[in-house]
Amino acid sequence: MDSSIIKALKKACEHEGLSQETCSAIEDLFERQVSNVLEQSDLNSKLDAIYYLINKDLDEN
Amino acid sequence: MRISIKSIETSGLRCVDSKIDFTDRREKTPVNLVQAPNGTAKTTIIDLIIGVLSKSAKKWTKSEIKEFRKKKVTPLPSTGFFKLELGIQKFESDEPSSLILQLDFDFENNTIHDTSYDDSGYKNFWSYPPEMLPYLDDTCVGLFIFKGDKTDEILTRGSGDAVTPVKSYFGLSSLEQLEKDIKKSFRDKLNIRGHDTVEAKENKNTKHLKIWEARKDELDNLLKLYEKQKLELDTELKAIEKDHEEELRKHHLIDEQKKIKSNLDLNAADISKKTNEIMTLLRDPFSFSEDINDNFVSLKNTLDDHELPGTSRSFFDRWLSNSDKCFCGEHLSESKKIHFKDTISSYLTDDDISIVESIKNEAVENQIAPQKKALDKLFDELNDLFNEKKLFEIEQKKLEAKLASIAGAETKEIIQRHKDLQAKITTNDSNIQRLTFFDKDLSKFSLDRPEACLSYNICEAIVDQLYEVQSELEGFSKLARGRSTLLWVLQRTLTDSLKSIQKELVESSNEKLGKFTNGAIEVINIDKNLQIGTNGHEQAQGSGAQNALSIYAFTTSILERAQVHFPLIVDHPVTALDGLARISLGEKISDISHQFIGFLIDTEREEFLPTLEKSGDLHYISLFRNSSITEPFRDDLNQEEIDTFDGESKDFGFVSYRKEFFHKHRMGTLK
Repeated sequence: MDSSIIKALKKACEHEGLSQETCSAIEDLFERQVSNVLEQSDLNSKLDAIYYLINKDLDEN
Repeated sequence: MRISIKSIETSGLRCVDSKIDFTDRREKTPVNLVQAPNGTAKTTIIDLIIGVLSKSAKKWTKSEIKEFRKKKVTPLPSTGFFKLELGIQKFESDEPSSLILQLDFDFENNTIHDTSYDDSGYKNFWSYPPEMLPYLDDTCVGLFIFKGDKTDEILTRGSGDAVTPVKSYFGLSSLEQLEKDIKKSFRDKLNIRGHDTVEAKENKNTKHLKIWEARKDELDNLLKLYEKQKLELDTELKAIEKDHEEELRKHHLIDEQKKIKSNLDLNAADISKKTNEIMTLLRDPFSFSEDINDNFVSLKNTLDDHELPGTSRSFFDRWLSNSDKCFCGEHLSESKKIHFKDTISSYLTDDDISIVESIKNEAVENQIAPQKKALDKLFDELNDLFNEKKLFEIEQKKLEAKLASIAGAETKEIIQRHKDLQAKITTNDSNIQRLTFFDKDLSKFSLDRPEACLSYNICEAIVDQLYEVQSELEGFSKLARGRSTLLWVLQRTLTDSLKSIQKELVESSNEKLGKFTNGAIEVINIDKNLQIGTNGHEQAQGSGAQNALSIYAFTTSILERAQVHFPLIVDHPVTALDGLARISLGEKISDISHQFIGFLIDTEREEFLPTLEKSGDLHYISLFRNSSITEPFRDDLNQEEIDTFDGESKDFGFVSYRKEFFHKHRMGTLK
């Protein structure tokens, strides 16, 4: 994945007050999608995990 | 990762049966030059490479497959194959590994079958290294395989598109798809429940969701239809424009037409630029409202009279901890301290104070005058541009009338068809524009009347909002919050990374153009098309040479930046370039890619070939069909080259890799 995507993603996560763990999970999702290796069946479970992390961060903030 | 083409081999197809080996920088030289007589089907070879590398071959229709069958032999072959051998080097220090991608044709049933072979063995499908996967689509492959004129594809205002390849190459298109998948996954999750909770059933939102979803599907189908029509109309227009251009050339009006077109393009760019400047100024209310400014100055004066905003919280904090005397000179008693501490939160912070101060500093009496003047001036200039546009349009009409008056019936028919087609395209484009229009203010649409919404994009946004409400209704509020935050992060990532990639590509393209043209042309911006110009000013298009060099600079900048480096394959690499530009490109071509494969025609040899030879070794490839007409070439082959002849093939091609052979024989005009 291009370095500018990772940089922009980190900035956006920081802006939303998301933790490093959440940002890494999102980065992994993006990386899989960009590399064309994200299976549709994996998407839902990955999204559920990310939504859980986001909500945890937002509740803590 | 570096990908090179090691060899290609074909049999039973409309190109001559042959095997061609290529080299790259690591092996010998990056520059491969292929010459072949007309009719050897160079274009077929390029189409096959594109078909395999972009995987688009899998989408070929039966009639497209049939087109690849060898025609002029008896009996017609019932099968055929194309074999593409790639050299894949993961890291600089690695030995390249070989990957063979094969496409087998069954002409009895007009079907194809894909297989591959690498170190891990044979596979009954094309197995690519995972690193290559993101690049295997038409847009990405179209960027490193130049087939036809790239000027229209990338540079021309209106039809050119430099952003889509950038998005595709750097994975942004793929992230845009993820955005759609996230929305779909969320909707599916809610739909599984069938909105069957009591709250949902009785709620209006559920009803709205159903009717807006139906409207969205309706508009989506319409949009797909118009987009399909656009592709068909554009192809038709290209063909007619060719005929139209030919007629203009025949009647010596082509230069006049080019001048008018260039003026119209420039004028369109200026109008767009001026409109943007005006819109920017209009966002500043002081530029057109004297009342706002006057009231603002009066507010500033009032604040000054009362010495406001005064002192900040942190000042009082410091004062309370460091001083035992009050402002009035009396002792700072404990009760006074408590009073200050209780009320301190109502004071402004340091930041608040500096904001108010800076707003006050902005308020200057009579500041309206220069801004209003600037706005008036811009409107005058815009008016002039519209008048200029009318004049160019009159010139265009006069030219068309002139052509019609001197042309025969056939030409008149071409002119009429050209006009009709342009009218159809305008209507189709405005339909697409209507369907893709977007306005952030969705509140103006009545949720009871989805039929009043004519834009797919707006409809999609409203459906999205309705799903958010629905999720609250059905107890999915946390899911909705997670989803909307993730989507925001994704959208922000897309916007910011695209901006940053575009900026870096402009810089890198200009660095190359500086070397190619000594700064005669520069890339100004990548807005939809690649915008070029000089000294920061955009021009509609450069000369043929400037256009071609700009595209080379832009393309190679993308290829270098990507994580997987592909070879640059170009049909007719310097046709559009004049002598000096050919020399300039010839000097640089061995530096711009680890492997360059150019399909050269005779007229391109001048200037280009001598310069290339001066700059380093070349891999010369002469390919010709075994036939009576190529006898002079065959007579000049050495024994080793003759021995490659496959006696069983009905349409075999000889290949010579010798420099002297390449120089001695010009092949372009043979049929």
